[in-house]
Amino acid sequence: MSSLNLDPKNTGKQYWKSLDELGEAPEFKNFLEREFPEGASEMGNGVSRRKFLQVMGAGMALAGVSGCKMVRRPEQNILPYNKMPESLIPGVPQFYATAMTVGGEAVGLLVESHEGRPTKVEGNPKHPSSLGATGKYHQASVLGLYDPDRSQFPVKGGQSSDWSVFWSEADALFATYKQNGGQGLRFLSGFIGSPSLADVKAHVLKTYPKAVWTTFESVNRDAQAQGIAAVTGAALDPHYKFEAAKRVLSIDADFTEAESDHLKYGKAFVSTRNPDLGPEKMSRLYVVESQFSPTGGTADHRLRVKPSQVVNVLILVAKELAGQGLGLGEWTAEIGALTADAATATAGVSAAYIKELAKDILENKGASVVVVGKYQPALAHAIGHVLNVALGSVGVTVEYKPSALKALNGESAGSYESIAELAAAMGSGQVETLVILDANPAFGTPSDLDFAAKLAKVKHVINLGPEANETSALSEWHLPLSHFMEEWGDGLGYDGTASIAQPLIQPLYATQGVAELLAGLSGFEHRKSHDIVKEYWRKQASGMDFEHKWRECLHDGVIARSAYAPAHPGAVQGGIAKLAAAHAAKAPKAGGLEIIFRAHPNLYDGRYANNAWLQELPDPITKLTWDNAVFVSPSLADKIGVSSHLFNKNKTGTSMGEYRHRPMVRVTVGGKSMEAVAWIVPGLSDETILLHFGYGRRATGKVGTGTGFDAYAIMNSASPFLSGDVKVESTGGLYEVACTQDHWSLEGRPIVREAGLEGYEENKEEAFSEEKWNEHPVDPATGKERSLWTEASEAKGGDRGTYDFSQGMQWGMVIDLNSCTGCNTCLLACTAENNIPVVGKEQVLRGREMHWIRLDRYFTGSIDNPDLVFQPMTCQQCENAPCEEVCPVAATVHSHEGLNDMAYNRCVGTRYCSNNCPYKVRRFNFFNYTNQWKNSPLSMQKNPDVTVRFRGVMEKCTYCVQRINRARIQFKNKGQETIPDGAVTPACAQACPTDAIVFGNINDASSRVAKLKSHPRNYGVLKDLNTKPRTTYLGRVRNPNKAIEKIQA
Amino acid sequence: MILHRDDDPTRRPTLVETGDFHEVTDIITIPAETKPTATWVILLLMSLSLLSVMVGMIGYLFWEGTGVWGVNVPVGWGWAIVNFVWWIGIGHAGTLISAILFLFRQRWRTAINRFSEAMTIFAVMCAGIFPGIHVGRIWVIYFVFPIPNSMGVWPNFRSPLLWDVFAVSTYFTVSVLFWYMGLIPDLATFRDRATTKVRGFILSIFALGWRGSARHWQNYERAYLILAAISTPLVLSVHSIVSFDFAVSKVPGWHTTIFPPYFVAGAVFSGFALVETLLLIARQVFGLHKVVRMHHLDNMNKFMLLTGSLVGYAYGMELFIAWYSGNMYERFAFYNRALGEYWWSYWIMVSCNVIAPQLFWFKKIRFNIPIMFIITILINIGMWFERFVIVITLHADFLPSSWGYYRPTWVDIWTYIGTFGLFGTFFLLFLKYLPQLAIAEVKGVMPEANPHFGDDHHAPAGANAKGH
Repeated sequence: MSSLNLDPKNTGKQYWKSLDELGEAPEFKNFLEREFPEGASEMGNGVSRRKFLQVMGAGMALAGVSGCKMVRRPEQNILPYNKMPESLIPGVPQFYATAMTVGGEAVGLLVESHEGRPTKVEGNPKHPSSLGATGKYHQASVLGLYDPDRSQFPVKGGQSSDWSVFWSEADALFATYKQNGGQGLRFLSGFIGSPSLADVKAHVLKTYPKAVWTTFESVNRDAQAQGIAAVTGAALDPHYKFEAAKRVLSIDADFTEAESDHLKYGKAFVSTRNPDLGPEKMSRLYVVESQFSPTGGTADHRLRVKPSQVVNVLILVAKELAGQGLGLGEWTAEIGALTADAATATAGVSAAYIKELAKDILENKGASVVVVGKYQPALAHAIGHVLNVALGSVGVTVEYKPSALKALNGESAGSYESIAELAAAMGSGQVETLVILDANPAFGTPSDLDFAAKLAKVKHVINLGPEANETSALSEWHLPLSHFMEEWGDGLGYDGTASIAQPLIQPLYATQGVAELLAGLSGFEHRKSHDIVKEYWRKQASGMDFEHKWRECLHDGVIARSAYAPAHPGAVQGGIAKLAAAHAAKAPKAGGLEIIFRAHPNLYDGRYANNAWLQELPDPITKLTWDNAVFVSPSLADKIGVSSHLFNKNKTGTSMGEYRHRPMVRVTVGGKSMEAVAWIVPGLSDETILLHFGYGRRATGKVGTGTGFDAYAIMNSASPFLSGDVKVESTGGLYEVACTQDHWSLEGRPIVREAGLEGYEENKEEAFSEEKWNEHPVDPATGKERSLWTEASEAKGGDRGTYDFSQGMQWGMVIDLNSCTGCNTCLLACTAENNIPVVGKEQVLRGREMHWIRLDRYFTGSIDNPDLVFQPMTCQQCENAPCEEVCPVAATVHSHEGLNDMAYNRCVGTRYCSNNCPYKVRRFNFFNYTNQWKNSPLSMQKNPDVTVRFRGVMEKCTYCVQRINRARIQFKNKGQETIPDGAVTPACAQACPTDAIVFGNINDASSRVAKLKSHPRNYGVLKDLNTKPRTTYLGRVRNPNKAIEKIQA
Repeated sequence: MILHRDDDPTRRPTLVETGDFHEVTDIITIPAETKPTATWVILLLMSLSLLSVMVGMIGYLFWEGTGVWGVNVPVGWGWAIVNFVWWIGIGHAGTLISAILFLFRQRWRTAINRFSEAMTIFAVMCAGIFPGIHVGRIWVIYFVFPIPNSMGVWPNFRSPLLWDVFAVSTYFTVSVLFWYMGLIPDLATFRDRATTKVRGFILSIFALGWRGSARHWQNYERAYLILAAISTPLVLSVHSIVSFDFAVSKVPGWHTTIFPPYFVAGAVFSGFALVETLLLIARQVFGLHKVVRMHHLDNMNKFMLLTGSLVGYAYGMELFIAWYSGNMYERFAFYNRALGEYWWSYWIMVSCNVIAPQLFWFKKIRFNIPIMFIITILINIGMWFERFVIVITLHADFLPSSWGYYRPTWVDIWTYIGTFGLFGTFFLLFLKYLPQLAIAEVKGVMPEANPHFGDDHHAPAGANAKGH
């Protein structure tokens, strides 16, 4: 299947082995010593065919023998297909629909495959949770497939073994369980999102009736399920319809990035953020949270409160709404009985603020929605639901559907309760065999459970997982797990939409899927993932032409109309009171320091720690890479005496120069402590510590081991996400952290332009105009920007190297700052598409990250309670490109379609272009970073349409010129010279969940990009330098509540 | 030599304090004809070891890649370019002394011109290393030369880096020619005194058959004058063009029109400082007190006072223009230089370049050898920091999101130190094997060179009247 030769021994030297005989022959040695081959001078006397071939062959051999190591030519073997696969054109990628499940929720994907190698993941537009977009984990999954540290064969007690050995032992072991019904047999898995796997699981539990199955995910939405069940009496999930919402109150819900279905939510929410909708239709977002989330950054009003007070603010809002006349129905008394005032008063939330907020929501009754985040207690979810019911939002801005997660995993106690029960059972010796399926409890469980130690008491631990990790080290058997692109599967989306997940490639190693292992252990009727999945769905699809339907589903990636229908939520009284009592028992006392634990935005619960793309992906808010940190607010940093090593002099960012080592702090929660580096985050509530879990892996692959700090060490299973019993102190130690953006402030520069909706409405033309912000002088005679010479754009192709930009296709891009949520997906998509190397922490510390896109993050306003703006920054493809003027060898030049091209082969690497780039978007290969792919499966991920860059050359965003050219070929084949609008989408734009990036031909007046370029919000960054950037931005318009602004002022 | 007919030795300080021509010849030739001293051998060994460090560092750089240095994005140029500009600047004094002072008939230059010309050449060699090795792909560095080829590679003549290539190579070529031209009569003197056949043969090749005839002298002086005229604009052009590397770019703090004159003044300033540093050492080691007199040192100190003040003015004017322009990026760049994360480098620069040379207003200090030695060292440090301050301005330009920080690595540091090995090796070889001072020229400014030397009984004005 693959024409790529991965055998490290198979080098060029071996290639020439076919001439061994010749090489050893004395004539040949003689030949090497002579300046001219013997035959060469004799040819004049009549060339015999034999002589000619001899000379040619020897000449080739000479080239091989004298081939010096310094000559760096890629060694490639080009092999023809013996049997050509159907519909495959070599060089033209194919796309297959599949699905990826994280935390039990499947998202449909289309995977790009080059000659059998999956290289790039795109979203499946037909899948309701994707709608063509992808998230970080989807983009990074393709790297996970080729991770060289993946487990490749079964390991028993640390020694490499074989599946046949495993099966002979397992069969013997499980034969006894068949007799005793599974006494002492336990299973542990994450949330199951696959119906066919759930079917196999049911069979396992039928076969071993006494066996117990524990489901645990450290990131879960148990509280949501519990809260909504308490007031509706059913296992329902809320499905928000942001496209219909005019007022959104988010209670710590990062719904554009971290909540279930966030890709869909982001797109829907952003559709209401267009200021041209006018004040009647443009939505307004209120966010109540402690830490800065990307969603909080897009908010019109962000209320920063202590973690324990978030729910109290919701209570205050609920009571205020009731006070303003909103009928809370069945729950009037229960809500009325809640108390929150005293505690919240200390958090500095004014009553007037709550009053105006409630008023605004009430005025938009029926078009408002309350969204509660998954880390909030069940009480908050219950109140949120009650408010949505009372506001008439149900059916308009929120729907309730049966929970797919519950349908597949069954009713159970919460994740943390379940794992605590398992740990207790292990501790008391009740567990004889534990089968751990794709989970890592020895690392990813709160330390109070002491899971790793208790694992030692279990006689047989069978661990199926993708890599050797903390758990596998304590297991009797570690079995290698197939990647989702290597096996057949299926999955239910958040709304119940079913997808069939096709494999893209044969398993690279001797791996098995979860269902395959379980099928073997329980004697299921099918053993292969293909049969398990297909036969499951055959059963579901009785009475129709299954094969035809199956093929259709495979092609589409989704099973049509399989989403759950909305359900009418019931109303249960008494739920809130019960939850309030439970909450009161757990909630931290008012006053004093609090700590919150959150999943790391890149590593999730730790499972992606060995994914180098995700390690090097900057944290969206702090821009830290390769580490997590103890996040503190500026004022808390002062208080614990660590600010001097963090702030720069003017407190406009973290210090870049004076201190490269950052202070370590010791955090103690409930008697357990850990040390980690401290980092300041503006906008984090005072008296709050934010710590991400997922880092601090003790055993994973080469990439992830030893990075960051393990937050699980101080987490507590009773209250995993919030604790008030916390102390923090400086240890005096120091540690280096790799941050890609130290500066917070915009320094008053018109780089990110913002306006209020009102000001924008008043004068759309003026709000973002160059005159208002910054202007390049205009010549009154011509009305054009002044210039010393005839510019490339006006040269009409006269001079060498200039082109007439009014002709042909001229590419341009517009990025809508109102839509960008700073999620980083574009950055990963670009990395995957353009073969961008990972450079490692040391190089990031030196300022040498290679990402072609930066997600610039700026804080505006006060340092304690700032606003947040994001700006994707990549090559602006300037028409007057400063980089081109200064390159001594003309390695960066313009194309006739307005692209600023890099000729890698011509670049000598003076780095002058980078110095002269006002946007600093050029990236230099300081070392031969791509060496990491040599003789590694990672090379299989590389996009064959994009040059792999060697050391010493500059590189940068190309607008995905390979995609432009692919489209050009496609349309030229059809006889069309022009590529229609929408036929070319760069990787960043394609992955963007909120469609913030629009690309196209600016010469085509009907294209989307041309229309946006003439929009009043359109502006170019640093246009005053007369760079004439082809990438421009749509200025940001917030929609603040005037009454609240007055209070804040 | 073109002599000033009205040059009255009695009204000027004596430039050479010796008895006769022969003693001058001895002073300069004997070191080259005797066995090397232990000091010289030790110094040469030290220089050679530093040179080998430099070669090692460059080899390591070529093997591993530019990443062994501290450069990054946004600071794409680091110590390499700082060192380049610094060494090139040092070279400037040589040309100034040889060419401009020659044209202005500043005859006191004879004591120091050979010295400073040699220094120029070796400094330009040190400088020339850096632009070559700082590129990412050294093996295709020939792309920057306009070599006709079948690859379609042709340089971009709009790039200041390309101007640099021409400016520096022209400068080096002319400097070498000029130096060699001046050496010819002295090499002939060496040749004539040679005691071995081999020495005589080699020197006779390089002396180009010099016999000291009047015709030789006439051609020689004409050629010397022409080369001086060619070199003079180079003094202004080379550093102006080097400054274009910065001034032509868009980077705030680089994009300023003051750079060419400011760079030239700074170059002369640092060049004089290094000439004086080396001269003071050589004067001590080789006992050149009679030829290199306090008067010369005083003149050089005055030059440093002048150029140091020019540089100080430029610093002040930069700050003023940054404020006066109203350009927020420009204002920040200068605010950041003085008070940002690299404030220390700015204040080292100001203290060494602006404050230190002001001491030369005092005659006592101009005549105090230890103090002037310290000041010249300070000026060299200050001028290095000036280039550092300029290059490092990159660390915070337009978009605050891209701001970064630059730190040199040990490779950066040792490569720089290693260039002193290169410089020292060549300079020591020069001191040992070539005439350290221009013998013929020095003789030309001695009282004996005056046609009326010894005619004490005649009125001094009678020279022309007597029709010699």
